[in-house]
Amino acid sequence: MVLEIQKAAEEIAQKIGEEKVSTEKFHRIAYSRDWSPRNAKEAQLPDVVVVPSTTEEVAEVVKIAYKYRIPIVPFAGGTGMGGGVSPIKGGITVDTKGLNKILEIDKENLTVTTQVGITILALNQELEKHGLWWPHDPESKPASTVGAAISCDNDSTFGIKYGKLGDYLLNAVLVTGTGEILRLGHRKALCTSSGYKLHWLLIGAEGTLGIVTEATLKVFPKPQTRKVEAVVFKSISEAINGLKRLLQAGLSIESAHINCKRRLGFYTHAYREKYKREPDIPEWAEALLFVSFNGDEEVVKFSHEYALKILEEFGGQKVKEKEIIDGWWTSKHTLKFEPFKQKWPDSQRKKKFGAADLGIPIGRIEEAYQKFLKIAEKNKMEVLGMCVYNERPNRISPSISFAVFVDDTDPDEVKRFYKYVEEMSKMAVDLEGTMSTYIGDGDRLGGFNKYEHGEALKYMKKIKEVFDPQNIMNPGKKFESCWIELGK
Amino acid sequence: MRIEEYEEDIYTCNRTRCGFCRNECPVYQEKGFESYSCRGKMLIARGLLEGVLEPSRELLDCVNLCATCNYCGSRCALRNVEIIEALRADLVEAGFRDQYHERGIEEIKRNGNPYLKPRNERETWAKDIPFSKSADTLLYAGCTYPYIFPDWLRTAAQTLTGIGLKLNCLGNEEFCCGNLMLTTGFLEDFMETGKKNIEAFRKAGVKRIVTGCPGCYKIFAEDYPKYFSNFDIEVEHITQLVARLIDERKIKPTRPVNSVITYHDPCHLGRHMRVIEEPRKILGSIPGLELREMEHNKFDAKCCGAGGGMMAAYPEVAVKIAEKRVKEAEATGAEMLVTICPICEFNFDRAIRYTDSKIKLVDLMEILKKSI
Repeated sequence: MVLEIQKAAEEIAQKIGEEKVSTEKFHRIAYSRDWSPRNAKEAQLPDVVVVPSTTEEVAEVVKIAYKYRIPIVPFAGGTGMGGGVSPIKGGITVDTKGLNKILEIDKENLTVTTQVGITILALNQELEKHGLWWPHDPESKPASTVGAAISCDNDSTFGIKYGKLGDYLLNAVLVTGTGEILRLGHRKALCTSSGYKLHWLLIGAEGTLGIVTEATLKVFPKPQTRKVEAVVFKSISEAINGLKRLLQAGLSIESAHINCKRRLGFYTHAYREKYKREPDIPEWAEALLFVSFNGDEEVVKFSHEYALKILEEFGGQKVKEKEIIDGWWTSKHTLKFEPFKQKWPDSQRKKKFGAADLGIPIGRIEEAYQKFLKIAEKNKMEVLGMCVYNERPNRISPSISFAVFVDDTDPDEVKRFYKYVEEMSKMAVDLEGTMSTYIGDGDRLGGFNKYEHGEALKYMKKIKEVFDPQNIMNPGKKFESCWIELGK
Repeated sequence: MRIEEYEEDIYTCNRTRCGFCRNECPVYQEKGFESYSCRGKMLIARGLLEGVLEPSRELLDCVNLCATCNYCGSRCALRNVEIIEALRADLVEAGFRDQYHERGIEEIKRNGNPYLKPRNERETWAKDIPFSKSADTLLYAGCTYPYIFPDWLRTAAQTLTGIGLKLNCLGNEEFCCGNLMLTTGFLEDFMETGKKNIEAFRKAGVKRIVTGCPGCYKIFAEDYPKYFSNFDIEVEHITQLVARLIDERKIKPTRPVNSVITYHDPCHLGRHMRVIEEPRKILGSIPGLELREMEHNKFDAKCCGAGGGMMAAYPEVAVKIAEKRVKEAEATGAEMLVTICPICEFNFDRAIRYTDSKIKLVDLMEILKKSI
């Protein structure tokens, strides 16, 4: 270990306590990767790991890193798909999960103020005791944190009703790249026209501007009831048009996810495996729309029935197999898997999932789907399928997962995967869309994202310099790529 | 290395990274570094497999800081605890041994128990209980009940023999089951102990083992058949037997016990061996008794912190974990915390005293006795 890092580790230990700092290799290896496709045997270790539990401790760590110009990598759930927490330049990994205290639940003003290292599940378990709910709902919620949700701007099951972090984040505390503690945002007010909305810059910043330590979020009274439904269509376009019509009709939809035929196959396969019989799904089904409605029982009942009537007009047919709907809901929201049979490990025993996460204009999704199949084939990637999530309130707002299987024991396949991501990303921009909607740039798209942002990327770099003048905050992310040639 | 056998599981975790095992891991909650959670340990295992990590005393501490409670297992589909035990065995084989585990195991080899207690006092609890040397069902006492909670073991034995059940007991000849050895990675010692026990069981004509200790139960029911091909004895936990006897109306809890209690699922009984309903069935059969479940119960039950050699090597961490569980028990408003594991009871007893808790710790067989 170089002398500066050793000295920094010692100084940090003096400031925040020895028990919160480690240079042991076995501690460091536990921070060597997230869920991004990378070679099975790759291990990028930080030089130091710290586990602070207050904003002030984080600030002390950053000040010392600033003094010695040592990279800092914020780490939260470690479930990201973009390599955002990979310590590709070594340095100090700051595990933010020690900042896990809820600071205030304000029932009157419907806000929660919390340290951001708390997991989304744990936050909601506490809110539930007060009849409240933070509807931001990624599948990783038992492990991923509020801070990760802010920093990665990830998707939510309930995006079509409640939106994403931009719709929730009212206020944030940031430790900048110099160790300064800043409060950004508009306290508990739900909107502002004053100043620049600097707290919004933190959404999706992936720790490149500093470390978010506290946040005030908008929360909701927990709705009384919910109805989950599934409908198949003869084409993806019909499913989209049906959904469009539901919104035009004035229905409030809690979740709406459109799956392609291959993803539908994922659910029918699981059904066959579990129940040893053929599910009653028509041959012609090319798309599967999962929707849910929440609220008072009568409203939910009406919405559900009215929605089915509309969707039938678009050629939709209700899925009869309740188990398929339950299976989807378990993997999407409740996560109440049978004990000892959680699905993630078993589904990735041989190959892992990898995805291009693209934003595509709504009229071009069918076209993007066809291109996806071709790009995957060209790069010899096995297709898992497409799922269209909707992530802004009350509108069709596609955040699309174009997923493939990746054999991470084959370095050539991992390379081909990132070639696939590159070509898919270009395709998205060419279709007037965006390269990433829930994974972030991570260590994948940096530099290459100039294809999307053009000269604006220079301004983004300047913004980073204001917050992080020595480029110590998660360096190598967002502006450089480990994987895509154009970003190197 | 023993972990080689688990290579597929280790790399599956490496490529999954769901982290569902982490947040509720009792040791991770105390220590704060990823490496103390199961998914952290899976990367450590990968590091050892690939030669990126070397065994060390510090690494041994990290790997030993796990109560083997199997919470991670219940949130996963991999062989989590087995892998952690294999990691421990590899470290022991590489020459890294925890002094407290080693001392306990030396004591077992010398006196049959890890508690520095004389061998000839093992059967003190059993005085005047009408055991039958010719019975082919053995009531296996274990080490902790006879030396730490002899009265509760006595109650259990009296309840069973009281209805005319013919039970054998090996008394001072009984020897530790070897759980501590297996779970802390002292495999050679475990193999020797197992052979010795199997021979003793054979000589005594044992066809069935009943035990109240979930650690012993798990070892005999799950691990002996795996490690010893000649082990063909039927094994039952005392709650399974008693629940059946209640069904058959051979045990009749008739006297009301007007108390509010909560029940703690011992990890090795519940999550490891999936015995969840039988203890509740027994408690449910007692008139007047109100069972109030803790927030985390059955497969989600929080660990007491004492298992996996933690009590011996890291008692300060173990008791902190127990204190949290006692708080959860108190939150139910119950007067009594009932369980059926002497190791949990040992640790809860400390936690209750350290926190001045008013909750009363009672063994499940003791509360049943009040009703008979």
